[in-house]
Amino acid sequence: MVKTETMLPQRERKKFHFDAKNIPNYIILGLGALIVLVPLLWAVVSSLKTSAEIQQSPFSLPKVWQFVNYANAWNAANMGRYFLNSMMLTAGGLVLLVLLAVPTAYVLARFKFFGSKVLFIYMMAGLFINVSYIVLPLFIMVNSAGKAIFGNGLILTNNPVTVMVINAVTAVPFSVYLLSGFLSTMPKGYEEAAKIDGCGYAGTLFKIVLPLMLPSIMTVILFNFLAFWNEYLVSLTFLTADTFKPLPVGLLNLMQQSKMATDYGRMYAGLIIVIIPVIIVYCFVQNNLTKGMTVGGLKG
Amino acid sequence: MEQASEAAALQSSVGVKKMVKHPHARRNAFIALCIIPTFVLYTIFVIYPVFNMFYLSFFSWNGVGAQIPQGWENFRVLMDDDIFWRAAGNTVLLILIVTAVTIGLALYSAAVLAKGKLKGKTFFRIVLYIPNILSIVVISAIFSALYSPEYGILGGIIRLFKGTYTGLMTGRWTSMGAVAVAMVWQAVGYYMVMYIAGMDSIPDSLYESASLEGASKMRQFFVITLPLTWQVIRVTLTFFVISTINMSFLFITAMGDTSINSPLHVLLTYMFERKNAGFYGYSMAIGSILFIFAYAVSLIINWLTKREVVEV
Amino acid sequence: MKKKIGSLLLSVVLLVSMSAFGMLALTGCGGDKYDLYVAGLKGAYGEAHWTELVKGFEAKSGKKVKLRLEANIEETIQPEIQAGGGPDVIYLAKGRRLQLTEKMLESGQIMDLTSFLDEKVQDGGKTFNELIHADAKLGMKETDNKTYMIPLFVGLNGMYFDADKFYANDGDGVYSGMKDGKYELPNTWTEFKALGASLTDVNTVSLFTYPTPGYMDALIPASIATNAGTEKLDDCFNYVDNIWNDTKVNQIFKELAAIKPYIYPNCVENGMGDKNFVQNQQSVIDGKTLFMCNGDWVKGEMLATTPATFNWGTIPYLAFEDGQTRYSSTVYEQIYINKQTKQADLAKDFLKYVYSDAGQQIIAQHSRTAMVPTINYPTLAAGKIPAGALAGYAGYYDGSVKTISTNNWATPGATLPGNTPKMNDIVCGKLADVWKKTDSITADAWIAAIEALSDTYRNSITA
Repeated sequence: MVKTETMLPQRERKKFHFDAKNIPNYIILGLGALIVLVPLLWAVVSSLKTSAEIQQSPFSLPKVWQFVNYANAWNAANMGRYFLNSMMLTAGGLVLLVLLAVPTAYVLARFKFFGSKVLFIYMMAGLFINVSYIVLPLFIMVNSAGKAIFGNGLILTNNPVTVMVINAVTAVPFSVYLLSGFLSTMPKGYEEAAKIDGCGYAGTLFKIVLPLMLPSIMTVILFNFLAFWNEYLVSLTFLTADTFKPLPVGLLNLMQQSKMATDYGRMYAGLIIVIIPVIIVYCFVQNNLTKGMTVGGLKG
Repeated sequence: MEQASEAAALQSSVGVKKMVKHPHARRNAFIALCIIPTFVLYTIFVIYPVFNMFYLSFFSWNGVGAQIPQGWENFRVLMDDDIFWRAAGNTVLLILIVTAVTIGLALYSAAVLAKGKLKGKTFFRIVLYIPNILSIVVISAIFSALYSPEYGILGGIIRLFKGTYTGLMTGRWTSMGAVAVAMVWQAVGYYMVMYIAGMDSIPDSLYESASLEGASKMRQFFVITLPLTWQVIRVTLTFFVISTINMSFLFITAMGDTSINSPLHVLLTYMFERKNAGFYGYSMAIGSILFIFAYAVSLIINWLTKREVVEV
Repeated sequence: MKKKIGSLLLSVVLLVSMSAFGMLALTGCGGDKYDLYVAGLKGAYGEAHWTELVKGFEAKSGKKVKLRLEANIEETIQPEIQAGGGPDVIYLAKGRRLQLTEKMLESGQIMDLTSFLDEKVQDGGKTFNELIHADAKLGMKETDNKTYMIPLFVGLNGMYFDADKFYANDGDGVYSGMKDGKYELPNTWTEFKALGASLTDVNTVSLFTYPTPGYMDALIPASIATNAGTEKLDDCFNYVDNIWNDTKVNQIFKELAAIKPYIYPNCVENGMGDKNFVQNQQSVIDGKTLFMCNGDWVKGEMLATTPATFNWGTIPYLAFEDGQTRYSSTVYEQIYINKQTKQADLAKDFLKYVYSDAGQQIIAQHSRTAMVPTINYPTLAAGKIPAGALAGYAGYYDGSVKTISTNNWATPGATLPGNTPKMNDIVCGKLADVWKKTDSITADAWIAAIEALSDTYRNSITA
């Protein structure tokens, strides 16, 4: 990992020769980078100020660094619990998504059977169905199912597993689209060889295809890690118990509370707590993420 | 070694025999096992709610009481509803503005980063992508704070120059601008990286020969880069529209006002507002229209952007 | 290499979080057993009185109570109620943004307490009907002549200001300017507007702010009662045709439009979407704004950011001409029982406990100056609540302050079109449209919108 990181700039350095025509480009890109970074840094600085300092001037630096804001956000606002919940919802959703999407994508891309084309189109129709459109009817459906089966809809609605399933299933169409796109660029030779060697269908999938698909599966996982970690609409609609709420919903609560108590430092601290894990993951995988996006389907 | 392969051959012949007996049974079982759970869940959790939405739009229901059938009444009221039409207009405008600006900026920075010989390419790519990994709640919180009339940076800057600033979220156009900026900020990096990937696959030799013929960088972009990345642009455009409908909803909900008097409703915020006000059926009617609208827009984009695929 | 580390990292993340889930599931199982579930709004009065009430009731009844208080409690309990369960006892006022209480009332989800009100709250004590303050009783009956909700807290509304910034009105009917650095306290809208016009720069000191337009639901009805009389106000609440075109009734809207140049510049922006209303209230404490309309709870709400030297002043809403009766308005927060409860008797016992001597004393002791609208609260609370706070309500309890209650809108029929706003969305909410800098509307357009909406409501009832 370290090796490739250091190799990249070297390669660039070799190519690089200064060109005066690039100055406007530098200025524009530099401005862009500033526009991205300044609000984030401002949030970090604000998270270390007292409420009074925040209200006095948006530009000032903290006189004394208020790390207590972080303690307040973590303890008083329950962010610790929300953090665990977010991990659980994200992990569960990802496992389910991979289990659902990978075999389906493989079958739809590689097998021709009666109705296979129709099924593929049926699945692709889901690309245009955003969860925001359907979250209300979804809630009504799950709720009445819970009422019919258990006599109490809450058993199904206020349930992290439901949220995992909804997150995973609504992510299936795009994942299948991406994976089958990748599969269509992958030569069939390996699978045919495996078949001749007497591998069963499942064997071929697990021993031959899966390892080859790993980069694109990683891409699916990475994208949906971000999507699930940041998701708030479904959780907000379904999870009523504080014990199940994930970070973004917790942050919404925290924002409300901070405004009531005019404790802005705590709000910014909560914000940073939500950002930190994604930034850390991003630092490790940014190359996979930004390169992996181009795998398969997205190239069109 | 030979023994092993013999054994394998034997095994495989056994397999072949079994398959001959039931030529498609194992294949079908495998296919069924792979796709049935997915399609069942997909139908229940994605397709069925859509139909349920259409179904409920024919009822009057406050969410806790009984459902009263209403026929087309909700849709009839919808056609005369000023807020609905304004929300529809705002949705379309936001799609147009945000899409144009985002894709424009993304194409520009991708072109510079992919083919321009710049120092710090990796740095720019990493930094510009960051907003895309943040939760909408986080971005909204940051931008709300930036725009705040009481202690935000924007107000601070304007007051430095002796101007007056009382916030952006009360006017239709200013609030739309404020939300659009946040949406562009969030999305540019993602599409930039997509386009970089598309442009990376264009061979350098094309640009070199174009340079020799004296074509400017601008001309190279329109003659070489754009046509050869057209397929990527086309796919991203379709998804972008869908995502903008959704993003504008999430941003406005977290940043702005979603009461009925809000200056900036989009279809999704109005749908949720009506549901909160206790008009579930009407809310579902808005959802149904939005759904049809989103599908239609995607199809239109697909049709408008259809070009001969240029292969290298 | 890189790929392997990446996948290793991910599998570690997965493993850790899965085990976290396991632990969570294990710890989450046992703890949730209770006999009674009480839910309510966590608002300006804090939550200590609720935890103490629950403790007291648990000790008395030997039952276990689950208590849930949140700032947005509707978002939690509405799904629970939809699901066929939810809290047994709910403390949540009408007039909230999500209108859960109204929705439950409309669709018959609240238990009828009419006969329950004749039961004694404690042995040898008084019945609810004897105990509840006369003013509070006025709004207790719904249109079907039954009572579903009992008023638990009362908030007196009026104009709030920094008492040290004003001298008493001299009674000459005109604004007399500043004396010794203090303003004259206005009685009438004429004086109020003159005071506004005398302010040189609204960016330094402005005349007025609302927390959010929703807070107008007290000022506007009280002003209508002052100018047009309480019968006309009742006509408004009952959607009488053409009532909003009555010039006495609609004068308040014109006066509000007239003070637009003097309002706190950030008022509209801060008041949007319930998000930053505290900043509007802070502007009065910081001396940037002279007046706001509010309820008495604001003192507790803003306690943390109010300097110890600050003295709150309150007056009833303004008159339009000399000699009119000026009203404060009372806003009640109700407590009620979910009709789906399986613990009706226990829920009723809980209500009795809340209104018993012990319960009321707990509220006095542990809330931030909450006022219970019962005739014996002043006696029970004496010594437990700051004397000044109680003194502010002396006029309410002895009946000398004229009050009107708000939010008495007649329940609409079931045929309301899907795009109908709530009456207060327009009667109060449109003020933001009048006051904002761009795309603003005139008072006349505001009044026309109210009259049109009133027609819609009337039609839904007569249809």
